[in-house]
Amino acid sequence: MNKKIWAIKTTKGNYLYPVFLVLSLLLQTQAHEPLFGLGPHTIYEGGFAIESELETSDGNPVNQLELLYGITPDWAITLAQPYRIKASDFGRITLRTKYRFFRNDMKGASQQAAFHAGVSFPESDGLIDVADYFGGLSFGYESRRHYFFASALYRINNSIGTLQRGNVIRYDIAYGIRPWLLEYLQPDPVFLIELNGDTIAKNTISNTDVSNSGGTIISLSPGLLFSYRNIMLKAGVKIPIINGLNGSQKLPANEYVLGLEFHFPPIY
Amino acid sequence: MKNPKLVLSLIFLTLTLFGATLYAGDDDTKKLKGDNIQIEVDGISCPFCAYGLEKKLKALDSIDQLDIDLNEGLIKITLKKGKEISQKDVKEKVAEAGFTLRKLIVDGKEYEINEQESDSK
Repeated sequence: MNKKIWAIKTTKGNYLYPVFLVLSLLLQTQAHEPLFGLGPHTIYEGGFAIESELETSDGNPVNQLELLYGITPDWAITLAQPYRIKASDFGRITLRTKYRFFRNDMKGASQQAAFHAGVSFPESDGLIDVADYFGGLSFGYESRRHYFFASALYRINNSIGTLQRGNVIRYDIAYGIRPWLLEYLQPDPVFLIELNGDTIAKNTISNTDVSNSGGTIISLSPGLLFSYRNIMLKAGVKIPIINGLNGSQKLPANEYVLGLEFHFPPIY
Repeated sequence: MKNPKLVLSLIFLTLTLFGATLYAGDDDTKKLKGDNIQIEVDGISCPFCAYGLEKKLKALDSIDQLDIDLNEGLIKITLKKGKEISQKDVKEKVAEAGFTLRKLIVDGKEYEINEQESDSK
């Protein structure tokens, strides 16, 4: 077996690890959105956001740096670069775009829906030497007090040598609440609770199914978004609660996220 | 010409509509001045997003200060001394921030906003 497949096989999780790694790293949140799902939020035209997130993926710490740009008020593009702290190397660069095709603004509230698409480029060290693609849809309702989100995503994972990684369907719902309706220039906490589902097709090696791969995981994810002016602190944990994985796979470890988002240039 | 009255009526109607369109355009760009300017903006639900709106509006040379009331979706605008502002300017900036301008009020006079023009959907 070649080195690339060996590297994936020996990783904890029986072929699942690479799938979870790339998934968790491409679903970074922006503004008031679910921490582990998708949301339809964009940024103002010409605005930039930079975000640094410290997170764990299958128990391994990763720092993700993101740069987002608002091409129009409804169309944003994001470049993300993860850094694997234990391994001291860079992960796959991901380019994502989001187009908000529907917006219904009301007094103090808004309904929005967006298309999502992206590509994870091959790794610099050649471990995953193919690009993977994803597309999705998200819907959100936000008001001064409540947030509701729903999203679905399909990810196409390309084969690495003779290993065909299973494609992934993600589906998420989320609810958020702002307990205190504070004024514009005051700090603004929002609490989130998410239900995240991942259904992963079985991996195959030389067209033979890998029995201990793929399946479904449902996770419950509480989180906090705390913003002041153009800075937002976010924290959350994704706790797998239902194990529908094939074979004898164990549930993956909890995923933790701690992030800081900054919109710029600031107002002088 | 079979029916000159009909033709004349159509010409009159066309000119009237064209004139009305021109008038509406002029009104949109008309410079407004006032001590008490307020705008109502739909879609604002959080201060983090409203930051973008503040940034966009403050990019207008004529605006000195803003006071944002999130719960009412109301923004009080203080103009720089001797400066004026147009409905079009405000509408554009609100749209660029990703929101919808609902109303412009200058010294108590309300300016209704054309939804199609102000909406960036």
